[in-house]
Amino acid sequence: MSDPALRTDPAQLIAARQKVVEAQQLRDGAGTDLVKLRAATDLLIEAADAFALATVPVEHGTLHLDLADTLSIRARLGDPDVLDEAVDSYQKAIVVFNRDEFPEAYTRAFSGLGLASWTGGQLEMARWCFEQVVSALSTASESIEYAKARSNVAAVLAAMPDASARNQALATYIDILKSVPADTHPIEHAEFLLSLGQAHRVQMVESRLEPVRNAIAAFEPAAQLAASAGRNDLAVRGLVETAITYVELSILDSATFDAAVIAFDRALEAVPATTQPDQHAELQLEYGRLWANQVAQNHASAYTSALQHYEAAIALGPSVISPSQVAPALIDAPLLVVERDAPTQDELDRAIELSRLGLSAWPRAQFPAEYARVQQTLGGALLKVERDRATNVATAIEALEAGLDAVNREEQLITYAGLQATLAEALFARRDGDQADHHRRAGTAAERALEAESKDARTIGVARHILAQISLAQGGALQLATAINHLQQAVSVRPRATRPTEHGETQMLLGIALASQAANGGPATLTEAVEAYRVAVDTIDQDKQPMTFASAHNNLAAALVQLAGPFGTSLLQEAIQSYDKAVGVFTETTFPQQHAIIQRSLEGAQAKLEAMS
Amino acid sequence: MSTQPVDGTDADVAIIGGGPAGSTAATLLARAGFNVVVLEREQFPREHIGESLLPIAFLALDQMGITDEVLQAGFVRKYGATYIWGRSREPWTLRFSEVLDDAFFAFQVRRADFDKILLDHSERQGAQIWEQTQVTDIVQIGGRVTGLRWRATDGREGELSSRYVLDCSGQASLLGKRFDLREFNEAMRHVSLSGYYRGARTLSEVYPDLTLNDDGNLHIVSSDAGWFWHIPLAGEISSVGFVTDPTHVRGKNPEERTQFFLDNVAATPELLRLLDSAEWVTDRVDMDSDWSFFCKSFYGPGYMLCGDSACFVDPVLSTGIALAMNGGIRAAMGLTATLRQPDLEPLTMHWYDTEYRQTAQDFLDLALHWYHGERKREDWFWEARRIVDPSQSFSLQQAFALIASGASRVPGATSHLKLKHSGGFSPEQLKLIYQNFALELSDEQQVQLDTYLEEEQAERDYTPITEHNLLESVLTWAPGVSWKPYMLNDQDNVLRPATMVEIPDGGSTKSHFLSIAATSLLRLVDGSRSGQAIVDTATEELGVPTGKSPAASKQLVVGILQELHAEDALVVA
Repeated sequence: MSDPALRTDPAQLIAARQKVVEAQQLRDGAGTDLVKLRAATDLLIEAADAFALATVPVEHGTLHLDLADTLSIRARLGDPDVLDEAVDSYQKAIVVFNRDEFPEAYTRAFSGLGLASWTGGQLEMARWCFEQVVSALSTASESIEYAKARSNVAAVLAAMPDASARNQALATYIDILKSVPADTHPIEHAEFLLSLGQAHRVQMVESRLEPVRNAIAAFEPAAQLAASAGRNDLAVRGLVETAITYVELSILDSATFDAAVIAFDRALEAVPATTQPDQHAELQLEYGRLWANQVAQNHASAYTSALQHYEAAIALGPSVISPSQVAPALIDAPLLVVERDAPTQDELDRAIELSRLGLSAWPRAQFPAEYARVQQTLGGALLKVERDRATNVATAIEALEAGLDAVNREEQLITYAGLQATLAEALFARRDGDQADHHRRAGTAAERALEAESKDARTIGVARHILAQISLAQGGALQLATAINHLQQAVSVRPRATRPTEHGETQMLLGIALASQAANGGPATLTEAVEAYRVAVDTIDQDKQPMTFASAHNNLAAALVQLAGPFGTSLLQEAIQSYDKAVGVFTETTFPQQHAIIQRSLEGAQAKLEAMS
Repeated sequence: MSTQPVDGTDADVAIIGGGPAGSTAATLLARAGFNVVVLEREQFPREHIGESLLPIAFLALDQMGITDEVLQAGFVRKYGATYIWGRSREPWTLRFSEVLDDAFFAFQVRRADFDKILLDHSERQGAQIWEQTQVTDIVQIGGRVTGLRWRATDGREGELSSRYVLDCSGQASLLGKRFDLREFNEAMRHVSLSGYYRGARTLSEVYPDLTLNDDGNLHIVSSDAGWFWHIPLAGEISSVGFVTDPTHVRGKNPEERTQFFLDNVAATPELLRLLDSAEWVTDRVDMDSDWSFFCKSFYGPGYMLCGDSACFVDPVLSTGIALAMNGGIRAAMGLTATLRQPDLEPLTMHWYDTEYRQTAQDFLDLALHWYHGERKREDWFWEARRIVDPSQSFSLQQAFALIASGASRVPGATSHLKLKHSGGFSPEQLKLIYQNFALELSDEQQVQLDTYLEEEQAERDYTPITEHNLLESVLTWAPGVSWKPYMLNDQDNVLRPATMVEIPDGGSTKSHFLSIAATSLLRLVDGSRSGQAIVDTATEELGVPTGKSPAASKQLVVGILQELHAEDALVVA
């Protein structure tokens, strides 16, 4: 061996062995302490030079196994950059330890490499590694180790994108459960049931109902079995998985909502915020989502409950190990408010506050998609705030433009379209500067929102509403027809039942457009305008939108008077009632000018009615 | 077809020179998925001497995936060689079919065409080929070669970074010169003068004993001042070269050298019979150095030497291209292993140097013998047998044919080159071939060998050492046994680290491979420890850290020690 690289230096070896011992002590006492784990890594790396493959191969392999395990733990705890080094070290160990001579080190190396590959998203590699472990343990096919090795393969299969792999995962788990009965191996059986549940949950079949139900059917007995076997941690996992899975099931089968609430309450009880803040926060977030999904079903307390649970999750932010766990609540909670038909000003203020926190939690550089969504929500919330209108509109435009700058149109089409639609709304609402330019830009943004064809009803509604307003502002027969077309389509995506305020606003605008077209000899009739106004006044909540409510009544009354003609007594009576409601809002003290005009119209209608009678 | 060099390029491997060594390595590395750049000074096609291949070249052609293209290129097929040497002017002919399956042959190639086929293929396989790009310097960081500086013929200059540099620059031996590695062999200091004829007679026309198949033979003829090669190429062209002592041409200008060459042709009747009616189609002879040399090391930090850059063996056996392509394969195997697993670099480089040097040394030893006095052909046969067959299993002619086919001694490797099926090889010969040569046995031969090995084992009347005796005895190595960490090529040319134990076996040496992990264990066998002491130490130092139970550790150690005892490597002190 003439090459110096093939010779050993005894002194260097002794020093290196000492470093390995120190590193092992550090690592064993490190727990989740990254600083200690990093120090252990450094010591192992320093020792590695002395443990050359060609001279002391077994020590070389052992050191790299230790190093790889330590790096792998670090990668999972928050040092993702060291994952490649972990993979590299596992491979170095694999070069040394063959299956026949060192089955223990061989399986440890392949298990570690499989896990590291999985963490790094290399699913095929992970699968292959775990299969090597299964193959190595196949001589002891009755052992729990063998079952666990098979379970690792199945877990990777379940994470693969193709349906056949996920099916294979399911079949493997079912097979494993048969070989590890609950009566002899309750804890392991519970663990595999949990894995089976997870595999069910990710099945790709036409209907999601069955996989989700099957998942719960595995999680629930897993929790019970683990609890009876004294494994509280597993039992808790079962409860948590059950509750979280109910979120989807309640969407697919609304009859399960009550069971879902019970599951969440049980899980939250099992995972107190004081002792397990991370899991508690995760549950609160999912609980919030469960309720949020019920908002569309007009569940009485859904909105409030959802916000409460989101807030509970957010409140745990400072306590959790990984703040990223609660960060989704900073997207979901304000979005719920903004999408609310008529949120209160306090709710909007909180939504703005949460969105601003969301911008910190989802920095643009790492999370451009989430960042854009938060900006969209922030912009939408600012637009809905009534006070400091000019400032809020300007801030909203900034937020929406920042969101558009970050979003990838092709990959986040819905967010892109939503941002454009909301930007159109903001630009149209802008009152300072060049109004015509604002309108032109608003029109462009609204057109871009529609071109994206995101099929998001809110986006389509906003974009069409804005385009209609722009057309109306431009005037002219053609623009009027365009406006009516947009408004009719907007009405269809803003249903009265779920979005009454938006529906009412659009109906009122449609009434104005139809009345104008009727007045200018167009195809629309005044009767159609009156119908639109009637829906508007019937839908708009006087308490939430008093001004819009009063305007709609005023418009309806004017149209009714016009429509009444010489014999329309009942129409005039209806008009007088509407004028009355309008002046009830536009009082002499609050809006003297409007009051005076409406009062004159009211008196005119009354005079006309008297003349008829 | 080549690409323009680009300054600042990063490559896994930078290869200097696009000849057979460079293109072989480039193709194999590119096929393995590595980023390879070949820097070639010339624009291909370009003329080059060294037109005669050996059958072993098929090994490289097959691995490169280019056999069919070469077969269809119309090169002259070479089934053997015909020699007229020494005092006896009787021609004698070697045919590869004496040891190899009848289907095997080699080619006589015009290097302009052959080298271009190979280099174009490298490019198709994904290597970047930078022609007309001269390497002007190497880049080093901390003593390690990390790249090259280059200049293109259009004047552009630049730098190429690479994880390894493979020097295939031919006799220019850029890195060999740079690191002062070359050691010349004073006994093999020759020059060659060469040129081309058109319309020479064929061997079968001149020698009644030869058949049409022999017309493609390499023809070697000695003369008073040296020896001639005569290589029939396609298109009735013959390459004729004269290898002589440099003192004969010292001080001569090109015209005088050409006249010297032609005068010697005229003075060599056996050659003249072939060429007297042929047309001399070269203006003047080319002169090349044929001074044999070996580099002290075929590798260094960040670089390897391959082909004529690593070592040059006198052309008398026409081993140049065979060695170059053989080296290209090994360099590619070694670099593939070490690029994928950098820890393997020391072992891989050591393996490369050892095996490549061994092959070249075998050729050199025979070539050295060739020039020694007025020998008869039997002398060379004896020398061939001494080199490749110390146990004297083969007939003299077979031993010579083996080495002349290019079948190199590579422990643990096989190639597709099939041993002649009906050659009547004895089981002893099959064992030797199996242990030492890159040759493939037929199924029938394999059965014959297996039976023989079983019988041999039985005849040795070996009683396995009991576990008790093994543990109680002090163990030591048998005389002449050595071991070292090495690389094993046993899976489709994929190298893996192993422990090689070399054990005397009759007049030869057999190689017994264990896992690389065994290296840690074998260090404990130092002649002072009992089997039990070895087991105890191994259990504590190797077993516990790897998660083995004491029982499993003991079982592993005892198993390896018993295996070595059974192989006669280990004895009770």
